[in-house]
Amino acid sequence: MSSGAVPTQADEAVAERARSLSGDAWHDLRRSAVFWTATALVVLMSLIAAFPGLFSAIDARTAACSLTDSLRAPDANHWFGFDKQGCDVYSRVIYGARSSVLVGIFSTLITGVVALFVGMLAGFYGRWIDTILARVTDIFLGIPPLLGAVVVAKALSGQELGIWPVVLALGLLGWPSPARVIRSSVIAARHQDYVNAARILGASNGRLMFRHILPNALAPMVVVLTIMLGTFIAFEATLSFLGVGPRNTISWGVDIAEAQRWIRDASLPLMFPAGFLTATVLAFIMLGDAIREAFDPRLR
Amino acid sequence: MSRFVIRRLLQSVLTFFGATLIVYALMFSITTDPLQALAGERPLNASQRAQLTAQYHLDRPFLVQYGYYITGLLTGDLGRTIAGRPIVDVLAEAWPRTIQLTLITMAIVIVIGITGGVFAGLRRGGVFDQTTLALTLVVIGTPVFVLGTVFQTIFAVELGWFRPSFAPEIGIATYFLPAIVLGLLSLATAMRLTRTSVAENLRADYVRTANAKGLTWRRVVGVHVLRNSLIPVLTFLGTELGLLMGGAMVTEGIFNIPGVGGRLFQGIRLEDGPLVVTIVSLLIVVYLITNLLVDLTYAVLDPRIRHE
Amino acid sequence: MTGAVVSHAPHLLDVRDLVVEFHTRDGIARVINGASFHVNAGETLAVLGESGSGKSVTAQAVMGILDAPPAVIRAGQILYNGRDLLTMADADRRTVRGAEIAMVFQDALSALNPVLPVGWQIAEAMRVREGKSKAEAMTRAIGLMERVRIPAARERVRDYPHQFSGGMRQRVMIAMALALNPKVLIADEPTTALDVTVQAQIMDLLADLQRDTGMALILITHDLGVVATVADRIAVMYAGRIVEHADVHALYERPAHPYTRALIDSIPRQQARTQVLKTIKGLPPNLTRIPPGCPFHPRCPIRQDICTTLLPPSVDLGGGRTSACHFASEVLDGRL
Repeated sequence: MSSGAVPTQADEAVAERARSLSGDAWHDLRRSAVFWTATALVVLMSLIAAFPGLFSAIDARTAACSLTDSLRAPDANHWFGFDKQGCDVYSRVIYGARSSVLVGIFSTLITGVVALFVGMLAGFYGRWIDTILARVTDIFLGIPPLLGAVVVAKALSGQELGIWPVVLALGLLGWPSPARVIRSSVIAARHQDYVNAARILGASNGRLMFRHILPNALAPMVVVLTIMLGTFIAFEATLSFLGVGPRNTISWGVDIAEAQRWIRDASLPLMFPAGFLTATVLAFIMLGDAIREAFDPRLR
Repeated sequence: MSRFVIRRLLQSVLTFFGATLIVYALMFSITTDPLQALAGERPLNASQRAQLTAQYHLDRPFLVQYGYYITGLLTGDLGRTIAGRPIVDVLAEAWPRTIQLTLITMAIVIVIGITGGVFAGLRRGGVFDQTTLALTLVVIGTPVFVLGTVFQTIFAVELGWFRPSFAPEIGIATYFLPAIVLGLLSLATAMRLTRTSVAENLRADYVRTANAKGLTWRRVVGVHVLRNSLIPVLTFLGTELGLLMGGAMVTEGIFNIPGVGGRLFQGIRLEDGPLVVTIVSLLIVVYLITNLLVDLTYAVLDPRIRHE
Repeated sequence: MTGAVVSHAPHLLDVRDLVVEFHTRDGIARVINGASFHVNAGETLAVLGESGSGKSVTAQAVMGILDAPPAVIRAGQILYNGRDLLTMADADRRTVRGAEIAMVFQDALSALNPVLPVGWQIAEAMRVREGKSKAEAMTRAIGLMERVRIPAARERVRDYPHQFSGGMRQRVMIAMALALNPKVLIADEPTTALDVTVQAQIMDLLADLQRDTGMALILITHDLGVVATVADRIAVMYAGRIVEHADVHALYERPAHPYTRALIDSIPRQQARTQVLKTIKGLPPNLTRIPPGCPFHPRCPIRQDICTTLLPPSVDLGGGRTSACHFASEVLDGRL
């Protein structure tokens, strides 16, 4: 009979380099070109929004526009040419990033907080709380989003409130979708044994919700919110395009609206802001998509 | 089944009142001067104020005002625009245009979106699949007004293939470019949805069973896979239909189509409060009805829902 | 129904040295590593093994429904009535599938199409492959449902899978498999998802059906208890190979392979209530990195040096028994 210990299960488990779902997901993400491209774009746009002075010598907020430059072609100092008003398109595009990105960030924050709150309460407590919140969600979902946003933004547009009417509008109308996602994750997590185990050990509801269930509901929420950020930026631009966006702010939407009227004469003043807008929106959406694909166990 | 229908009906009614209440509240109560909001940026004199106050019962409590508004809506009294034109007339003229646009758009979405999605789903990972994924992502990421203006620039102004604005004299062809623009987003989403649904269902256990029965691949896909895959797609299309009817506001605006969306767009530009609010309320109704029909269709298509 | 005596007449279904690989991101897994077994009309063969032993893949390979990438059939033959299924044209293979060799799957809820009525699904094969009319096929479907003992078949033929209980659903699957009167029925863990009492009913049903039709039955399972009452012969599978093959009684009374012996020893017995349950130490091997020599050696209580280097051949112990162990005779006689 030969000797030699049979390897124990613990040894073999360690030797197997067991990977969790997050580990697997990160492994995939790291190798995804889409992920890195999207992240790079997001970082770039955020920098442009935060420090426009680094990217443009001309301060579009104070620049003097001369009608003699109206719709002039690009040159060495004015890479994107001039718009109808004679303003430098490049600096307007750079400075326009701020309102878009800020609106995106703030409205996503509001949406995220509200959705988290509603979703967790509905998913965790269930029964009549869930029913009431579900009906409230239905009501908000019944309002066509763009139209609702327009109405809110328009209703508040009388006062000089900057980007806040739009942020409020988007936050108010955007929360139902992520709330539903969070609710499903919470419901799924709630029935897991580890939650019951924690409950038996005496964890309070609050602790259960935040320490145990929330981390597991996080992944889908991150995906939804990232994508929403992109769509909110698109929304803000659309609202600006329609004339109900933030006033007295340089905005891609407004510039596109203006440029659209003169496309027969010059297309560049339309194309550049449109390009930047699309790139930014796409960056966030692609990022969210990449994260979602990485975390989806069914796609393995 | 009938319990399901009744439950959904009640939910829809509740949602209708809730949503319209919110819209109404937003429009009239947030602003400090609702009269001014009604009239937009034009200043009002005393007699105009008095008339508007009486017309909109603004001296009454909020819920009463809402009550008047809803009763009016439900009895068909839709009020008048800022210019005094009966809103019913405005809509009677505008809606057929929107319907035509919607039908052409849906045709494009269904034909290209679903067939494309099925092919992409069947050959997941293939060249066709990757290309469509990339293109659809770009479409989804690009705001409609950008797509619209860019397409208008390239295909109508530069290339001259289409008219840049609504031209009733060329009949239904005037809706083609707008329909493409409008349909692009729905098409992209439908294609992706179909693709994912088909790809998922291809790996389902019942496909293995169907194969084990010795059925041809064509039958397995054509009968079993499609039957299951298309359920979410069809329900999505149903919802899209409701949204499209509503308003392609931006697209109709860009191409100057005097449909419901176009009128809404104009109403916003001209700051015509009553028109905007009334149209939005009606759109909510349309949206709710379509959603209800979609849910019913879902129950018909997926027997598992019926027995909940 | 006695154990098969070594005969040289061709078997109804004869699987020889089958090798199937799966190409995964972690490497190539040899899921089936030289498996051989056979079955004749009127016989029940049980293929017994733990999860990951390759038994379901074997069944799917025989049916020809493996996902072609990532699975690759590397070697071997699957002879049905003397013809090798693996070298047949796809169209011919498809003729065999369902009509000659049929399969019943484990989880009937996911294996049945959820949006189509059960009667329709049972009748489908008859309509499409035998050209029967809708009415005729439906009548036959009702007949099949009655045969598998589904009560009120006529009323339930238009119901959907989710409206049946687990046991009833499994009967629907069996009815569907019998639709074209196959000569071989492969049942892949048909009772694993069911309660014990329902398990017994389904097993009885299968036994009765086999008696009535004279078909060959291949039962794939991990449950020793289920197998004892129904099977004629047992093929024990480990890491993609058949490590022991014997008549059912002979196997239980005197196993000839350490793995089989450990399996039998691990069955909880009434008399041994106060004793610690016996388990088999360790885990089944990672199929991308099968250890050299005998794949069972890391867990084998009688492991010797030769076991770590040389793959044991399948030793013929006489009377139709084989065992893939260097010390098969010793294990058989109880000397090791």
